[in-house]
Amino acid sequence: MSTERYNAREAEARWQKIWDERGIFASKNDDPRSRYYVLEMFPYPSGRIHMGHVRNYTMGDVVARTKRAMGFNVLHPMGWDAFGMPAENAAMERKVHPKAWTYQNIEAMKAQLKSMGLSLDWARELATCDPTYYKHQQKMFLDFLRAGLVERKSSKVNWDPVDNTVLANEQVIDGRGWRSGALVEQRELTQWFFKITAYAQELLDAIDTLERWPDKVRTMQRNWIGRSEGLLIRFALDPKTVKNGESELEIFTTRPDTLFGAKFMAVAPDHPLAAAAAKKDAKLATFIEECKRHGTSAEEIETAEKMGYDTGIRAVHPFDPSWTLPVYVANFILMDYGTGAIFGCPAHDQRDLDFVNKYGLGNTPVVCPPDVDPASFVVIDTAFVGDGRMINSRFLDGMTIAQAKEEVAKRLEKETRGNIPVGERKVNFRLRDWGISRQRYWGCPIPIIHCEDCGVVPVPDADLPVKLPDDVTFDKPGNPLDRHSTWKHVKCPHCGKDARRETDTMDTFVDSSWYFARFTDPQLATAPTDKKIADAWLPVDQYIFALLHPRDEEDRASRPRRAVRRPVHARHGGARDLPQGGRHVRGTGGGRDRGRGR
Amino acid sequence: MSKSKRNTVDPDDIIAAYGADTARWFMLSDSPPERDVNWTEKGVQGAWRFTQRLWRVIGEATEIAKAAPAAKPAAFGPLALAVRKAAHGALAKVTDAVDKLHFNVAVAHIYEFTSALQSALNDAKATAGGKADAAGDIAWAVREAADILVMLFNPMMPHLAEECWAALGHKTLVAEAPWPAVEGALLIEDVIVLPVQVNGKKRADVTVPRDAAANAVEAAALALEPVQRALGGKPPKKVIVVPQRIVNVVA
Ligand SMILES: [Zn+2]
Repeated sequence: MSTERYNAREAEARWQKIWDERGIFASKNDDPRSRYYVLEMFPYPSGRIHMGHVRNYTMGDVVARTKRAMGFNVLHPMGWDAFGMPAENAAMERKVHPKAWTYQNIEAMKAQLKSMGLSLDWARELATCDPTYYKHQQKMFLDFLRAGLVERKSSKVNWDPVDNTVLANEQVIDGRGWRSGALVEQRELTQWFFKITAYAQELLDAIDTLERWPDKVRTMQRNWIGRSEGLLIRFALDPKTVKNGESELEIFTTRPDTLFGAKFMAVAPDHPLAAAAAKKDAKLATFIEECKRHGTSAEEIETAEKMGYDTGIRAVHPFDPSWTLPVYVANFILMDYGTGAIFGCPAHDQRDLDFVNKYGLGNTPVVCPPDVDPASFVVIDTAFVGDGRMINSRFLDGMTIAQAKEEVAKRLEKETRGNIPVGERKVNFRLRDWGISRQRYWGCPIPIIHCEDCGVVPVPDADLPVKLPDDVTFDKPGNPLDRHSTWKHVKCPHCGKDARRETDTMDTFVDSSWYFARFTDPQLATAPTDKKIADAWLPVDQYIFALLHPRDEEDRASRPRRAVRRPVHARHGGARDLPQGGRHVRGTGGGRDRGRGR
Repeated sequence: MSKSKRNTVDPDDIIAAYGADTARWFMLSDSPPERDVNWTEKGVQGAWRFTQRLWRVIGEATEIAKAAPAAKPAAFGPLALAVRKAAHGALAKVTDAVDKLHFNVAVAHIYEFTSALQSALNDAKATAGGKADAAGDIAWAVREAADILVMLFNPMMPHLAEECWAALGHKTLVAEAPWPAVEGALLIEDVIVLPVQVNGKKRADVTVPRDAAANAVEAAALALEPVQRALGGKPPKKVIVVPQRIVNVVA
């Protein structure tokens, strides 16, 4: 009988060596047995693993080892989500090159993971900062561009004037940059976008099929896509009140049933009508400037005090030419949702109610809850958002909300002004196109050349990858690629004249959008994946990830999968297909470090 | 402990002090995947003690298993059968729990099975009465149970599992061993529960083997505390056992 104690330290190293030597965790793509793919969210090489990683990887390892014993050909890979801001911050603060910092961290963390005895196929290890990886990502970008799924457009960004960089919404704290503390400016910047909105409905439909995903995640995804059915309504503007000849204001509403409860109109601070009015109203201009200093994240919009400025413009109620509504510029209206303009029905929308209560505009309830006497129903400081019957609404009285919506839509569709219907049914999505440009060094270069004569010219496939230069400096704020003495100067592939490279790099979430597919054939040089091999392995059977923050959850759970599909590299290449049939478990911790730049 | 505190525990320190298997086991045992782990020193020490306990249990099992015949015995006595039922029951439950990702449940079943095996080993030693070898059926059942136990905790504590697997005399790696098959017959619960009435009023339930003789059922029913109380210490006038149905006691 064995009486001596089990010596874990000695035994663990010994068995790890034996597993390693025999290569028993390497999975072969030509193994004829049934396949099982276990994937944990791959780590950011911050330098150390933490207990959250230990937990997630242990859970994944239990599944991998069990399935292996059950006779499956198990794929259990590991890699590194290796681009991102912390490496540049380290370069600025500790004078170490981002590449050196990243690879040192990878070495250290790999040793830590190995000490855990995980049954990983290390032969498939990849790092997103490796040109052999991002070369394919650049190719995909160009494929998307050719397929019309990439677009260059100007948009509003949070600009940190000290760090000279774009900030994500969550990097703006109380109107200031999270690192510099400088007052953030809203700037127009030309950026590259992935047109994910083209897939909004498809993505939404696919969520229904993900039966084995946690409800919480499915709900978050649905909310993130944010489909709403509503009506576009063109309100006429009272010509006596406009100064620049504008004749109408188009709004989007999901509650056309509440039109008779309207008390005001509101437009976003960057709405053209606001901008035009501000030209002749210095106070309004100041108000708009003030609004623009604050972030536009949902959280900030929710928590900020509702503020408005009466432009003096009056809009005419679509069902009553004698009824006009004041047009405000308001800080809680977003230009990129709907049309950037609304009509406010305070009795049935809390934000609108907060607004009218502040500005003394009053409210009229138009939906009465069941079992309440319409004569005595009043709204004071809590909007009624439930179901009920229409009241105070002329021809809509007595109808249900659904009937009233339908009736309003029908009438306004028929009515025309200037030969265009006043109302138009519209499905609106909260989902926005994905701005992927980052003014950063440590990211995947966008493979584009700008030529004065030819415009935007894709880097020829044969010239990929566009590699990051190693000799860069971090002594100044701003993008080191932009100030590099030679890197951006190239000949135009079209006309041969002097041209310059795109110096923006891609959002690191692009990198993590397709690593799961790359793991199926990580050394393939000619393409991101081998379609047959990727199809054989995908979808991932068990995915284990961490939820740290709703925002991370959204990003991690849905954004990464939404772009890879069109130029087909795998049937299950991305968007909706990855998780189908697969399973999904939420572990804890182990995720991307918060506050990391995107 | 809060998440932020948990994240300040350095995995390297835990692994250096207790080994990776202990860290892995603790991480799985504390709570379901969707909840945070409460990292406590006491908890991790408990996990470490369990690794030592498994090592001792497998060591003892190895000794007893030495007497196992190569071929599966044709029949198993009560102790051997109990060991086999515990092993196959655990195998079925752990397989199911891992499939559902209920790792903490799987861990609880492994604890339970380890205790069951330990007490069976004690019984086996007592039965052998100082003789070197346990009976062949018991030795065979212990060997099977030890193999199953090691297979079950291997996904969670793979290093310890390899060490135990080798101690059991296997020349292969447990990492390459196939998952054991459950013998369905061993999972059938061979007991039935019968209501016990005293003067027409239900007083208790009695759990007996399905094939128990009527006098055994009667004895078991009369031994129940609520039945004793209803009888007020006097012997019953009559006991009627309706097989598979009910026990009627007339006071
Ligand atoms: Zn040119």
